[in-house]
Amino acid sequence: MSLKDQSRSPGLLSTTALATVERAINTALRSDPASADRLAVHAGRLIAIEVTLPPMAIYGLIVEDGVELYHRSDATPDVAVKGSPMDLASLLLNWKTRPGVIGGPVDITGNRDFLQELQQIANDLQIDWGAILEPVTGSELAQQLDYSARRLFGWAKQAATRLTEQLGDYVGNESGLIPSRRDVYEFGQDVDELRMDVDRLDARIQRLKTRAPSTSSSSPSSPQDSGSATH
Amino acid sequence: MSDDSKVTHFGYQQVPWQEKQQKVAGVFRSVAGKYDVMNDLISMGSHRILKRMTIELAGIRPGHKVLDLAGGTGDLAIKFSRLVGETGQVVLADINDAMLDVGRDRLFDAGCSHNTQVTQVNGECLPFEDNSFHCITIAFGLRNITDKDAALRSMLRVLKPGGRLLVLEFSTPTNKHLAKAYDAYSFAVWPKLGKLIVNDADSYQYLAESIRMHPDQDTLQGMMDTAGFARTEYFNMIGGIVALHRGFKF
Repeated sequence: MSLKDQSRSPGLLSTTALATVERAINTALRSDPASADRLAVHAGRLIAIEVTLPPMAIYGLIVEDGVELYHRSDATPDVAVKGSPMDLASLLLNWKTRPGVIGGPVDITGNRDFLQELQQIANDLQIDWGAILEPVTGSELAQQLDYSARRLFGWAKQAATRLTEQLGDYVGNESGLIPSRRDVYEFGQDVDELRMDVDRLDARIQRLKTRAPSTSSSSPSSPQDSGSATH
Repeated sequence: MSDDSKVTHFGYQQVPWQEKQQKVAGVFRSVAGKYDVMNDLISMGSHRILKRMTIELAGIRPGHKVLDLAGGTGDLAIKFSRLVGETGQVVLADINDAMLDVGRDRLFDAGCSHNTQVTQVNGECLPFEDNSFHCITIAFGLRNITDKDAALRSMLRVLKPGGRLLVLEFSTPTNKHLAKAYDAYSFAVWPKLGKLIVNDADSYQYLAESIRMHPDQDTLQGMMDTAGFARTEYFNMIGGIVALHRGFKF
């Protein structure tokens, strides 16, 4: 971290927001002990997540009872990922990629096995809403809320998948912002064809060049030799 | 002036220099058991966020040795223990045995006993070798030390070259309207909460008074400069109600 970064005043709101996210993650982990145990194996490891827009960095330290999130860290992360928020979400949460919408390039440096394990844990995380809500609502209502929450999140996940698919179709087919798979394929074919044409032409030129000395030696003078070349 | 005739402040009272330490000790013995609950109540939870910001500016890496001075119940020390890892070390230090008892239990419960030490010390004359620590933090503790200049010099001595001191402390609000609202809240509500939760209104009356007697942001920065700290700066938080001072040893 640069000295300039270190001199930046820490933001109360952003720190509060990060603390809230940390609390939400740890609450989710507490409701799924199997995932929490899998994560605890990596206690002491650090992941750096750098978002390009808006520019922001988050450091996640794995601890025995969950994660701790920070906006800055002087430690060397075990793995660092850098990309847009949607691309990072796609990578870390295993979202279905849609070219032009989500799933673009993400820079990864460091221990990829660790990152893969984190992805797997995030994907397998089963939040027990009933256990979280039971102390507040009682067991009967908690079970109903758990069922409703699972349905709601299932619906939300499907809706998000449909939305990204439709967005991908729109961006790819209707808006013309990015080419469709078919257009890319045809463009590739055209490029291949052009390359082969160029290769053929090049071969023809080479062949003509090899024949050229015999013809030029029989010629009394070339235009360059006479200095009378015209353009 | 001899130490016998010197006086200092204990809240708004003037007390003999030697008595302040015992009086402060009495305050913390009284509230140690419910110190964290009271902190949550009077700060409306904001002290946790302020401590997070302190940790972020501490620049702690695995292998570092950290002194959490006036660390009391150990909430910073627990976080530091995780950040320094297996190869680092955290010393939780406080002058008050009752606070340290609570802190020791919390460190043990949090699984941090492997790389932490708990030590009863006087901040004015730290019993550590020169150049021992990469970082020293003192959160809401400097205000209670009788000889703050001696404490700052002592901290500088035990810091490694390149190490940093972070002082998180109540300070002076930068906005007069906020200052009035804060005065009203702290003098009217804190003693009542103290009475209700720990059956001790006086300790929280002292807290409100001691904050007003504490040096403001610029004065404390000047004290750090005088003690020998380099590149000193401060960050106002919640409109200056709390300030985080930072200085380096070069």
